[in-house]
Amino acid sequence: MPASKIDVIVVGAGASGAVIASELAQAGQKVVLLDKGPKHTTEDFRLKQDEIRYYARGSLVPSMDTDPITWRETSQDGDGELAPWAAGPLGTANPLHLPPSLGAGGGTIHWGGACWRFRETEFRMKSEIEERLGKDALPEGHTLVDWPISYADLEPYYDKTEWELGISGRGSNVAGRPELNENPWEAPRQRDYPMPPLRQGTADIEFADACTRLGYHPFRTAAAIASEPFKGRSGCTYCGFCHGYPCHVDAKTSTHVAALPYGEASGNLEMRDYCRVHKVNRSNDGKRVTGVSYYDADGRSVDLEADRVVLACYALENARLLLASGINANGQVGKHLMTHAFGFFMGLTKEPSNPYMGTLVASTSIEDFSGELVHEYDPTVLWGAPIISWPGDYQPIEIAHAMPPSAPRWGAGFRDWMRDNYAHVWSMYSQTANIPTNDTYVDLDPTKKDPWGQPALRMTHGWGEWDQKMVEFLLTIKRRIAQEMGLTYWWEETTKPDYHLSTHEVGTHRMGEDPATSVVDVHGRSHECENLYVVGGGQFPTYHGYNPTETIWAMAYMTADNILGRSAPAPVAAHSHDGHAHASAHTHAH
Amino acid sequence: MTVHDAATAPDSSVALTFFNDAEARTVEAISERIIPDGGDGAGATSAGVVYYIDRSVSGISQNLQHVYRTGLRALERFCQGEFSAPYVGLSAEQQDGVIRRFFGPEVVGAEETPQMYGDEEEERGERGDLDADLPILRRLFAVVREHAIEGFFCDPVYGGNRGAVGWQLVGFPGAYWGYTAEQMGPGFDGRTLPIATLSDLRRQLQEKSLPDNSTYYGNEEN
Repeated sequence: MPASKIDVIVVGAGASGAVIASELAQAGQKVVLLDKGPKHTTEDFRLKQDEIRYYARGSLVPSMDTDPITWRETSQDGDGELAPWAAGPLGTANPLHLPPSLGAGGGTIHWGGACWRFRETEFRMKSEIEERLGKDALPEGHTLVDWPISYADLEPYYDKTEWELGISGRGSNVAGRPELNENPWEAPRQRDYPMPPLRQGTADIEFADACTRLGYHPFRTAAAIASEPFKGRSGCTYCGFCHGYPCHVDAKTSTHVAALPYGEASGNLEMRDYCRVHKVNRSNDGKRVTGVSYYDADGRSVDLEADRVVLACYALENARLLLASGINANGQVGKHLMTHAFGFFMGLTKEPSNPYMGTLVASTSIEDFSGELVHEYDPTVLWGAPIISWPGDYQPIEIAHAMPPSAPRWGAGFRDWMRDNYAHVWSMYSQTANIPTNDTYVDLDPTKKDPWGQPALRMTHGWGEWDQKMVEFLLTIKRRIAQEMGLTYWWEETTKPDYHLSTHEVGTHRMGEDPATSVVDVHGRSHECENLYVVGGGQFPTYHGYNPTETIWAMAYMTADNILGRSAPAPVAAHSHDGHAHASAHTHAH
Repeated sequence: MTVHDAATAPDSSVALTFFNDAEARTVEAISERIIPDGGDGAGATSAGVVYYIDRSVSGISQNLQHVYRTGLRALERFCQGEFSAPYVGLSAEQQDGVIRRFFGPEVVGAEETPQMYGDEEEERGERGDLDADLPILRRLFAVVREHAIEGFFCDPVYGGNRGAVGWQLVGFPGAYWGYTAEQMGPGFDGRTLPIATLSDLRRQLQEKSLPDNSTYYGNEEN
C-alpha cells in the first residue's frame, strides 16, 4: 500500500468514486479512498430480507442526526428546517428520500439499478426548448444551459460502463442489428447490452400489452442487475428485497463488488472507512489543493496530502465540502440544483401481481413522451420523460405507507385494505426534473451544524408550476394506460411532492467550458484548483427523465482517462462480440 | 422441521424490557384498535405488536422513550378526566373515539388535513392542562400507529408478527432467497407459498441447504 507518497485521494466510495479509484489504481497510481461509512462486504448482506432493518430504519443511509440537511422552499422563506420529509413519526424515513447509502458502494448498494443512457437531445435541452417552443417558453430566472459534451462524446463510455460493470437489457438501435427495434427513440449504440433483460414481474406484462394496444412502443428497461452470471457474480434471484436493500448474491451492480475489488487487486488502492472528510486543503496561492483533512473512526482529525484530490461524494456533499473549504471563487458552487419528482401512480391489478417478487427494474418502459417528443402532444409542457413500470420489490410496510387517500389509515378498514389489496399492487412512475432557477440551490446553513461542528447543507428548492405541468401531463398518459390495463383502482402522487430529495440530486457543481459560469470542466476538473476533480451528478448542466447513474459512471470513466492521459475507448470491432450477439439473439427469441 | 413449521412457531416471550405492565397494556390496547383482529386471529395483540414496540423503544428508538412515558401518562389523565376510567377500561367504541380525537379519522381525503380534537381549543386556550398535553398526545398516537404497522409486518425475529399472522393476512411469504420463473409467471397464486422468516434462511445458510441461485435466475420460458 502507498508507503509515503499518495498520487490521488478519492473522497467517497460510491458510484463514481469507486470506479475512478479502481481505474487509477489499476493504471499504477497510488490511491487512498476515503468514505465516512463502512467498508461493506457481501457477507454482511447474506440475510438482508429484512424490511425493518433496511427500509423502516434505513440502516444504510445517513441519518438527519449525523448528516443534517435543512430545507426551505424559496430564499424568501428565512431559515431552513430539518428536511421534514426525511423524518417520519419515528424520526426515520423512506431511503428513497434521503441521501444515498454510506460506505463502499455508496448509493449503488441500495439503489434499484435503473440504467439509462440519455438520448441525444437531452444534451441540448435548452436549445431544443427554445427552438421548438420559443425563447419565452422557459421560466423567468431559469439557469438552463446546454451540455458542453454530446451523446457521441459519451457513447464509448456508456458502452464501457455497460460491459465493464454489467448492465442487462435489450438495445433497440444497435449497429448492425436492425432486428432490435422496440424503442424507436433510442440513441445509437455500438453494441447490445452484455446480458439479456431481467425476467419481468407478472403485472409488467399487462403494462407492456396495454401500451402496445394504445399504440405506444414498450421496451425492456435496462438494469444494473445481472440477469445471468457475470464476471463471477450471480444472476439475480428475484428475491424482492432490492431497492433500499443490499444484494445478497452480488447480482446488483454495486461498486463495492463491480469495481473496488479490481482496484484493490492491483495493490495500489487503500480504502479507509469511517473517515469523514471535512476540508479540502489548498496551497498558499489557492491554485492547487494539497490534500484533505478528515475525522477518523475515533474522531481524530487527520491531514492527508496527495498530488491530486477527487471529490466523489454525491452532488450534495461535494458542494458542501467545496463551500466549507472556501473553494467557490466564482460563486457557482451549489447553484442549479435539480432533482426528480416521481409522479408515482399506483394501482390494483385484477389478477395477483405478487409484488413481493422480483425487482422494480425488471420492467418495461415507454419513451413515446420523452424529452422534446412531448411537445407534439402539448407544447406547454417543457420536457417529457419515459413512463416506467414498477412491477415488484414491494414489501408490506412500504405499501402500508403508500395506500390511497381513500383507504383507512387505521382500524378494521386499514387491516382489511391490506388483506384484500397488498398482493394486487402494481405501480408506474416517471421522473421529471425541476428546471433549475436562481432559486434552486444549496449553500451552507448559517446556523445548523453536524455533530463534528461542520456546517450543515441547506437546500433551497421548490417545484415550479412548469415542473408540475410535466408531472401532470405524464399522469394523464398513466391514467390512459391504467384504464387500458383494466386496473380496478388507482391513485396518484401529487404533482407538487412534499419531498425535495429523490436520491437523484444533480447540478450543484456544473461542468462547462467557461470558468466564469461553471465549477468544473468536461472532465470534472475544477476551474479553480488545477489538481482537484469534483465528479458525479453534480456535473450535470441539465437534467431529464432518466436515472443518473449510468451517465455518472460514463463520466467517471471519462475523468479517469483524463487523469491518466488516456484517450477514449476505441469502438469495439463488430467481430469481437459476434459470439455474444448471436447468443443473445437466441436468448431473446420470443 | 419444515420451513412452514419454523415460521409459525411463535416467539412466545412475554417479558418486557422497557414498559411497565400498565403501559404495555395501554400500548397493546391502542395497537389493537389500529390493527384489530377480524375474528381470524390476525390483529395487533395476537401478533405481539407490543413486544415489538417494547424492544424498539428500549433499543434503537430510545429517543422515543420520553414520548411513550409522558404520552401514556397524559393519555391516562385525559381518560380519567373524560371517562373516569383508564384507556384499557374503555369500550372499543370509546377507544376509537380517543384515537380519532388525537390522530384523526380513519379516512382522510387527498387534499384534507385531518381535523382533530383541539384544533380550535388550542387557539382559545380554554382547556388548561389538556391544552398542555395536546402535542404529546398527538405525537403518541402518531408514533404508536407507525410502530403498530412495523410490529405487525416485521420479521418475527423483532418480537412482533408472531406466528407470521401479519404476513399470512396479506399474503406476503416473507424472507425468500429468490423466486423462480414459474412463481413469477402470470396466474401464480402466491398464497400457496410457505411463509419463511430470517431465522429459516439463517438455518438454511448454516446448514448450507440453500438452493443454488440458478434455480432462480434460470429462465426456462426463454
